[in-house]
Amino acid sequence: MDITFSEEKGILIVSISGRIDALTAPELEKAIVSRIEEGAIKMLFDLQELEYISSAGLRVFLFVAKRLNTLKGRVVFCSLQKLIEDVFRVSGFYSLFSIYEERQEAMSSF
Amino acid sequence: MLVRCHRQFNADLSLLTEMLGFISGFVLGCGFSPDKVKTIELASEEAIVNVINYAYKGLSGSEVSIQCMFERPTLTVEIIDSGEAFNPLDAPDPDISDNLEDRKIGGLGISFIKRLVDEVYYRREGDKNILSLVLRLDNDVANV
Repeated sequence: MDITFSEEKGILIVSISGRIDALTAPELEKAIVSRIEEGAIKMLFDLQELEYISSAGLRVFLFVAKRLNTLKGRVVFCSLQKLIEDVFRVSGFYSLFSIYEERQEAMSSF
Repeated sequence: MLVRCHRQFNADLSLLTEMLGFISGFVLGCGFSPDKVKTIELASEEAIVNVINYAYKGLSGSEVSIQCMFERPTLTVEIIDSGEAFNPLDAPDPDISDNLEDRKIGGLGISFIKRLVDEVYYRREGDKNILSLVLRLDNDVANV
């Protein structure tokens, strides 16, 4: 798993590639939490390069979203591959989050 | 013709990548599409993590056995542990509330297992829990 952070118009773009599983999820959580502590409250997760996610990874997203919610921030997702889309769907993430096909569309939703 | 492959691992989360690699290597060799391979990896990860964290409660010295079987068109991956009798399929479905504040963080793993593979069975054999994850090659649209 690789994580790339970039910032655009006050939005933290988090691009994650590879796999988020029970081994790598704690790393992801740590990396994101430290950005929240630095003040990031608007986050866009670009998952174009993400190939695999298990429930351990979904837990991180839920945790981050809840935390940002209490800070009046927001989390959106974009560019999901087919398998990730399936996993999000069976987990009810589509009714919980704003999920976009393209990054631009996601950016303009803020 | 039945092809069977079996391996035993220490019940240690740091071996997860190796365990999933063993499974995906076998499944890929059966002719499943890369997406189906990831699906079975996902269901297997949830089962294995459950065993390590709950059946063994992080106890060292325990083992997880993984048995992969393929008899065209049926693939079965069995995750075997010798913890206390526990049928994960009895767990209630998770809350998938669409309200972020109410939404619980845990409980998604078992529902993945139930919803992503074609069939799933639990049985107790002697002092072992056996969870069987079944995928069928003819349900793999990429192969039709």
